[in-house]
Amino acid sequence: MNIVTTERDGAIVFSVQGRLDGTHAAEAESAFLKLANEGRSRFVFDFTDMSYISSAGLRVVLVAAKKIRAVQGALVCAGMSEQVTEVFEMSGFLSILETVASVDEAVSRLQAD
Amino acid sequence: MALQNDREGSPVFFSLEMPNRLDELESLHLFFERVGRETGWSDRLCMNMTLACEELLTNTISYGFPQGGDHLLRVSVFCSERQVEVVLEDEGVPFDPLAAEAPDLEMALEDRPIGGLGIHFAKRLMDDMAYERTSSGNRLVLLKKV
Repeated sequence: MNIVTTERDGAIVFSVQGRLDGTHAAEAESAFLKLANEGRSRFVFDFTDMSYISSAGLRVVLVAAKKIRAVQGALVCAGMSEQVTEVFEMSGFLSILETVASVDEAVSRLQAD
Repeated sequence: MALQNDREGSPVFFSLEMPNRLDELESLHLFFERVGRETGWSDRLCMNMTLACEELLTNTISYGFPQGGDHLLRVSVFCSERQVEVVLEDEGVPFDPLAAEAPDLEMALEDRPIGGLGIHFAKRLMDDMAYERTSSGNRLVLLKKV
C-alpha cells in the first residue's frame, strides 16, 4: 500500500494505492490522523488505484468519516472499482458515505458545499 | 450442519500453512493469487475468496490464542469445475463464527461501531459455511459456487 496526498482547491486528496487491509490499516490511519491533527477537515479519499479493501481497511474509513463529521468537515470518496464498491455495499457504508466516480467530481462537489 | 457439497471428480488441491501473525497475511494474498492463476479464477472470485479467508483468519489470529505462542493455521483449497471449497483449521480456543451476531448495517455514521464486519463479509461472500469443533481445534468449511 502507498498513500499519496495532494492538495486541490483547499481539499486534501488522500490517495490510497494498492491494498488497504489488516497489514496496512494502521499506517493509513496514522497518515490520516496526522492531517486531521494539523486541522485539515476537507478530504477526498481517492480509491482509484486501490485494488482491495478488507474490514480492517473499512474501519479506517469509518474512523476518518466520524472524525471529519465531528469537526463539521467534508469527505467525498472517489474512484472506487466495482470490486471495492461491492465491499462498501456489503458493509452498509454506501448509505452513510458520499461517493462519486472521479477525483475531479469530488473536488467540485466539495467546492459547491 | 449439512453442506451442499459438490466435490465431484478429482478437485485440484492447494494448501498453505501460515503462522498466527497478522504480518503473515501477505502470504495468504500470494497463495490465492497463485491458486487463482493456476485454476483460471476471475479477479472477482479471487478477491472474494481472499477477503473471506483474510477476515476469518484475522479473527483467529487476533482472538484464537489468548495464551500467545506460535501456532500454524492451515488453509486447504479444493477447486473443481463447479465450486471452490476452502477448509480453515486452527488449534485455537473454540470459536464458531457462524454463531456471531450480525452487525446492524442501517445505523447512522455516528452510531456505527468500529469493527464487527469481517464475519458478516465471509457469510455474504460464500454460498455455504459449516463449523466443527474437532478434538484438536476449529474447522471451518467454506463453499463457493463457481
